Amino acid sequence: MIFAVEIDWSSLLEAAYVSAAFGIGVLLVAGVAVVASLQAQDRQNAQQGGVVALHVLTGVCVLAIVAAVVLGIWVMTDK
Amino acid sequence: MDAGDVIVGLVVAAALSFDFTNGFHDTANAMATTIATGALKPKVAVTIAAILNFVGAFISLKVAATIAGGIVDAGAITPTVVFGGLVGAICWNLATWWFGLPSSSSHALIGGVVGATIAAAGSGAVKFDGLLSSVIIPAIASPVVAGIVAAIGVFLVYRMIRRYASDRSEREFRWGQVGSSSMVALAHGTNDAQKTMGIISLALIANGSISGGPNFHVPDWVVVSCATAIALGTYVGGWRIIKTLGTKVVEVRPPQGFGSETVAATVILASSHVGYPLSTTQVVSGAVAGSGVGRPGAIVNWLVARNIVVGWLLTLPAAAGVGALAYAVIDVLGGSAFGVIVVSVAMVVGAFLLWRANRAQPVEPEESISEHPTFGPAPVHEPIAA
Repeated sequence: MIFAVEIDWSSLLEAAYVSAAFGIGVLLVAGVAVVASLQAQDRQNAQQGGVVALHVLTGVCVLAIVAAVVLGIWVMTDK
Repeated sequence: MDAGDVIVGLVVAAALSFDFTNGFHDTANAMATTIATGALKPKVAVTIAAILNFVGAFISLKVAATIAGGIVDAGAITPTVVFGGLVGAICWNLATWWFGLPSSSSHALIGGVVGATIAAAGSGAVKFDGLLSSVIIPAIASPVVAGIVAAIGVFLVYRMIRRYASDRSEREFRWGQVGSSSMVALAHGTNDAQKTMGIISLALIANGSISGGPNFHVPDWVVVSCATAIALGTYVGGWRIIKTLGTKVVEVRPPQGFGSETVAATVILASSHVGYPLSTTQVVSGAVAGSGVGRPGAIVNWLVARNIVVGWLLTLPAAAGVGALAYAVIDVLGGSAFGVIVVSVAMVVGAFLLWRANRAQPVEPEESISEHPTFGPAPVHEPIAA
């Protein structure tokens, strides 16, 4: 009887892969931001070039994360 | 004022009490990892969580007016059944808090309402297929998904930063950790405060105090009081559960804390978007354990994790049992306001005794900080006098 229950597997699967894509995506972007920031500090200390580019990359990653936060708040208000 | 008004008044009081316990029970979801690493001081963390829970309660007012909708027969829901359900949920929340177990307040509420419904109208009034598809399957799937995603995500992050000294690279995650925890707190306020608003609205509709028709809207005082109750509960902070989640499952480092809270927020929001309401507690607990699996060298305490899972398995039946018992006592006492008052008094006495026991064996906020925090000094625990 219990196995006859209709379960919306497609929604469940969609929730799982959207979670995986966004969760891992945000973590990777944050990882890139941290690595770029650390690289920029190291290069600055060693008086090497490319510091500005690394700071820009860090900034872009931070903006991407802020965009993800805004998307999250939109999802909360839109449900 | 007739007996119906007295019962509804006590339902509102019980619902706000549940909302308060929901707040302090679930503070850990958002802030346990942030407190553990020292990214925020304990009191600062719970203050931020309280404010965001309060704000979250106002973000969306598409209230789940049927917290148990699709799970029990709407015709069987009376203010007394709702009251019995709330008693079951409050008792389970207090019991799991005492043992420091992060368990789902929403499942406790659903369990309590199911139990009270069975006591009132028999098991035929419970839609077991709805219970399975809306509660049990997501409850099994969500912590597993959160755990796997957090393990992969945290593993990849540690691969990326492995060239740098850990004390240096980990510190970079401090503000990310604060941001991701804040998102979870906001999502918690949006989801959980609304459940209490739904419960109070249900009781008011059943009593004829407000209209449940197409012009239905949640009274402002209900919104404000629910937001305030959950925020106050969050501010009080359930330190026993914060300590378990932040320090006992696995030693949390900032990238892990950031990873677990980020994954928890995405799982909750993605599921909410496709229409699957999840337990914040289960998602965060799964993500914290998964982040421990993903961090090289971290050791997950599976014994603590097992105890948490046992708590999850017991939530529905235990809350249902207490909910059914509360309803039965009220029924034996004539099903009137007198019975509801007697059960209310018993619950207040029980809560007082637990509060007194907690004062004798308190868990201080500093105990929720890891022994080796990334930020700030290690906590100093006063030796207990013999």
